[in-house]
Amino acid sequence: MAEEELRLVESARHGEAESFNALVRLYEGRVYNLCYRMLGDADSAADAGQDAFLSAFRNMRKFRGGSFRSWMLRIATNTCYDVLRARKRRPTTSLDADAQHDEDAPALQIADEGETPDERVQRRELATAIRAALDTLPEDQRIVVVLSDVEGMSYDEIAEITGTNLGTVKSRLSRGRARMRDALKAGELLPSRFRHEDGE
Amino acid sequence: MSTSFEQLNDADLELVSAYIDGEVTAEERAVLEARIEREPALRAAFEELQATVRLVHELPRMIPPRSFTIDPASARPRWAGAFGWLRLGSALAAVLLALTVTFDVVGSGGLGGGSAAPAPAAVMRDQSTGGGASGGASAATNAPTAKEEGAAPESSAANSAAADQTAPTSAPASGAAPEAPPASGQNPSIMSQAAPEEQATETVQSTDSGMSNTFALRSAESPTAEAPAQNAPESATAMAGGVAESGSSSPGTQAFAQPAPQPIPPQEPLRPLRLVEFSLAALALVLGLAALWAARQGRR
Repeated sequence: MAEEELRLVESARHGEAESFNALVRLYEGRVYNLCYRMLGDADSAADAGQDAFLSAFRNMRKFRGGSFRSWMLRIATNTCYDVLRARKRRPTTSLDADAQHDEDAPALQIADEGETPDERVQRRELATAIRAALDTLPEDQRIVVVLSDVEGMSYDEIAEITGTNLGTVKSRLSRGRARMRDALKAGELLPSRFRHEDGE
Repeated sequence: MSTSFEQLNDADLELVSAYIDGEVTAEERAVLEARIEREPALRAAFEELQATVRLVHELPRMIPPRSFTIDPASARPRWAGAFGWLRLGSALAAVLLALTVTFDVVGSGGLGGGSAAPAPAAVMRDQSTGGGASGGASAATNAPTAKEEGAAPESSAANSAAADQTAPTSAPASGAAPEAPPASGQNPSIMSQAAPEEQATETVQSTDSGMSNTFALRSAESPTAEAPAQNAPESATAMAGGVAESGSSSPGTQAFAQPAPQPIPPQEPLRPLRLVEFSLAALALVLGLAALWAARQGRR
């Protein structure tokens, strides 16, 4: 798989769109999830994901080797930062943004075949609560929490993606987790079973 | 429970967070595990943080609403679309430049309007046609000139013929143009050319001076005129001898000593139309280069 990816990357660096699209299919889910967790809504995440791949395609010649995944996620991260900066400059309120969060987004989640309706509702409540908690984090802490706790990446890779060092990653991650915990507890956002689990 | 984080300092919080991810050294792990066993606040903080990490990790994966695959045509850089406009702009600037130049040439009286001043070579040729003696004396001067020009065979031929009349040994100097055909007498075509009247008069008037005057003038000649004499010493010696034998000084000697001043074309002020031409040429060049660059980038 790694050799195949290297071949695709090398071919894409020479402008082969099909090879690049093969890489897109490999990483579009990860890129989209990162954008979704950073931006908080499906439309913005889709647009940012598309922009990130477009930017990657145009800059493939600048890729100097190493982990293509890290390089791609770094581009996606920077794209998300651009979107967030634009939002700060031009704050807008979407009339259906909340409805999209609560209704559309869960429909796009991967369904668990074995869960009951109650469990599905509880999972949706939990997802909403965690999204709200993530939204309370500063951007530099949010990206680290998403990359570590959502995407399961190592500190080294997070440092590479965010362009920081290990110490910064550790610091931001611990503070982000502490904030998350505070936010989840403050608004009684945790469902009962997690509060129970939490108290164990 | 709610006070567990507040009892931790930043260093302990970082250590617990890294411990959950397995990003601590063996020594740090041993120390921290021992502390968690004996410090309830640290244990509570560890459990809260661990539960939070687990919750976040359980977030469902989202499915992208559409594929992000790239269409190469639409993925072209934005400036690649400017290629057509750049090319069109360059072509328009070139057409405008052509029209402006045409207007400029037609308006100024045609292409021949600016050739009023005689060429320097023509001036030298005219001097060489002043007479047999003068032609012979000026052969040493004219021969290197013809050598420099390299494209005036009739001038060299005439000089050679004139040199033969007075100083046969000066022929090597005129051999600068060996391919020149031998000419007999003076070339009518050269005679018919417009001679600068002032130079001709001055040359004739100076024929009364003798050898001493000739050498005096030679010593005062400019470096430009001296260089040919150095290149052809035999010719110079022969020239002087030829003049002495003939008992008359040569008007060509004066021409040799005081080379004719190069005619300086009158300086025309830079007209607005010329400025427009330069601007259009620069614009066409810049736009053309930009279009070329955009086309090369678009092919990548």
